[in-house]
Amino acid sequence: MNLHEYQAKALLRDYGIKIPEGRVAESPEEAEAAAREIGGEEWMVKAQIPAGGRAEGTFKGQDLKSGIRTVKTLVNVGADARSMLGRNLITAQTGPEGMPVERVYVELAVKVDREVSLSLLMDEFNQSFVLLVSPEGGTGIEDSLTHRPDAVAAVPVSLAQGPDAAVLDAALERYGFPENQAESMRDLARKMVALARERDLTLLEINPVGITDGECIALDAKIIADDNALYRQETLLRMEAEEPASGNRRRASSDGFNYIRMGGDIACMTVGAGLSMATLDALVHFGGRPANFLDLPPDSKVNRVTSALELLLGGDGIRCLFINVFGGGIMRCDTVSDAIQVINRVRPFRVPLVVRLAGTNSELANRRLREGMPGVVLAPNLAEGAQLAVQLARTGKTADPRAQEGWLQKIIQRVSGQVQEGRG
Amino acid sequence: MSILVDSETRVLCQGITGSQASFYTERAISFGTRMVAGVRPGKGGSTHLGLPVYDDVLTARSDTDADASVIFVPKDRAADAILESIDAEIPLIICITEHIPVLDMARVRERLDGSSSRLLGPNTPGIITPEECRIGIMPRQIFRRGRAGIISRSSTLTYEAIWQTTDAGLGQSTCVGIGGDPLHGLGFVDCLEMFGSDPETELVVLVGEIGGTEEERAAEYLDSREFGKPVLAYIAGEHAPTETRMGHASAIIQSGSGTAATKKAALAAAGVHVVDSPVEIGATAKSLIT
Repeated sequence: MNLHEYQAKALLRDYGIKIPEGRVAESPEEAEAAAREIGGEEWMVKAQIPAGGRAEGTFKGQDLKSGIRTVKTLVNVGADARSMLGRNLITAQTGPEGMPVERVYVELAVKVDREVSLSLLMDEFNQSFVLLVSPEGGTGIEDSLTHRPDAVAAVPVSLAQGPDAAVLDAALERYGFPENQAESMRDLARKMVALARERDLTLLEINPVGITDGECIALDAKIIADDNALYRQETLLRMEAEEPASGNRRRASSDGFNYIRMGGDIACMTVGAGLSMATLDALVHFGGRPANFLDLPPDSKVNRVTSALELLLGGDGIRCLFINVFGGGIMRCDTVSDAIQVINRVRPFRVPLVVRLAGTNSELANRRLREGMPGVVLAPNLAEGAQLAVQLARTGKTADPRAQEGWLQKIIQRVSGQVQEGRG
Repeated sequence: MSILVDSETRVLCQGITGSQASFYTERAISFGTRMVAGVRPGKGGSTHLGLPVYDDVLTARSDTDADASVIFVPKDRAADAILESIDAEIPLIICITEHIPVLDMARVRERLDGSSSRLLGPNTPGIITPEECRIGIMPRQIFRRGRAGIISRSSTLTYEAIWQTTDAGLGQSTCVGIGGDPLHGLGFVDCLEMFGSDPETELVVLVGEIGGTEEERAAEYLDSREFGKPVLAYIAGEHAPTETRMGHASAIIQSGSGTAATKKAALAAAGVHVVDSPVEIGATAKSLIT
């Protein structure tokens, strides 16, 4: 779960990390009132989407630049909020459609002597957590790591004990932090580790950290919380509930499966992320164009499979449906064949259907389809299934083999006579 | 020969009374796996599926000499179940449970280092040495005893790779699912090391995927020595939509790594035979050793 900046900052404040005075607003009027309440002479108006790169972002269909602006009058706070709210902000991290801005965060503009950054994140290579310290704030940490690795120091972190003190001290010294700043940075690092540990965060990036008179202040923050731990994080669940149903979907799966449109003409359904990716690779390998990525979890029941199928069949420009499932774990192939038959009774398939079922209960499932739906093309393995799907999408023939002629007829007869793989 | 498990392996099951655990324990027994005990706090002294049930792993181990534990405990208690097996010095722990919080696994990792246990998973489909020992949830009858060692991160794709090596007539020495979670136990390198010194294994099939750093580590390992056996790799996800790659955090730390292209390039440079499509695993594996 990716948090909005305003949510991230609320967590930071809870853990005693200093942030600029700020308010959330859902309308231009609220934004202006927020700035008035905050006081001062200069404010930041920041579009709230759960993705980074906002300062360099653009608004969809508009000339407007930047989702983060500095504003010097109350009237302009309202005007800038109006220009952001209800529009989609496109950044390097959002994809071409961008994400709708439903709130802005109005914050006192703070002058600082120095901007640096601290990022706490999971380090898969070392199978632990790591704290990245950079003497440069504002720039992307990814960018720094790629182009100027000297500008980033990696400090090993024990979640129980905090950052490795000696390595952290060496980094702070190397980057020229005077002692009063270094102490403030150490304090901030300890608080970050406590926050990540207690709120199940896999990424906590404060970038930039502003430093004035030896005091650190979090000017922007990015937080990713672990979806698997939300069940024990009431604060985060409340934050998730703040998201309007029509708004950004921050969890990968809301209907119980992971679906991403890709624009091709072969709809695909698979169980498990690995096999889903392999299925796309196989289709592309044979010259096909997948219409989507869809990964059903192995514990799916018939009703979830049917809703996935309905979603797929509703897509534009679909010329073939390819189902590739390897039963195992708790996924049984007959769950898939039952779902296919349920859909077919309600709304017969209008596109060719290529089905490859292997593993647990595949023999039973293939028999049911062969007997109940003679129009379905049953493939004995991934290679043939993918090839058939690509060829059917290309020729645009119907699914009924009785209507087929020539090569396709032969292939179908051949493969349906030898479906025997992976007897479950 | 094989790696990690064989016909002598004595297995206990943590969380044995659950429906999944019961189902797969029965299947393991019918396969011939030496299941020796179950653990379920509060049910010690009872019998389940003909096996003695204990309140804790330590007692189960000292009574039955179990040397492997398979964990089917719900995600909120799974990390504690792993820690209990580490404390009881179980040599091989296989955690089937998925969706364990990352921070819990960070805690497990800190305790695993320096312990006498090896962990497989979490979120692993398990491990099989055909005809000898089957632990986990892999489907039946896709295996055949033979010459290929299989190491994979993803469950369903593991089955595909196994089936292709069976179909190609090679069979498998041992099939290991290391699990798909970012923080986990045994990795590609550990398994490569074991397969490297297993006389029955004639080639190794690595099934990787985008994200993470397992493939890069394997490439580094293979590049730095004479492995002596052919290694074939397929990396899933070259044509996956970019949105499937959450990858932010993990890609940051090892910049330039994480994509299918960089992983394939690293492995190829280390002498691995990399196939572009999953449909080529079986035939290519066969061509490498016949």
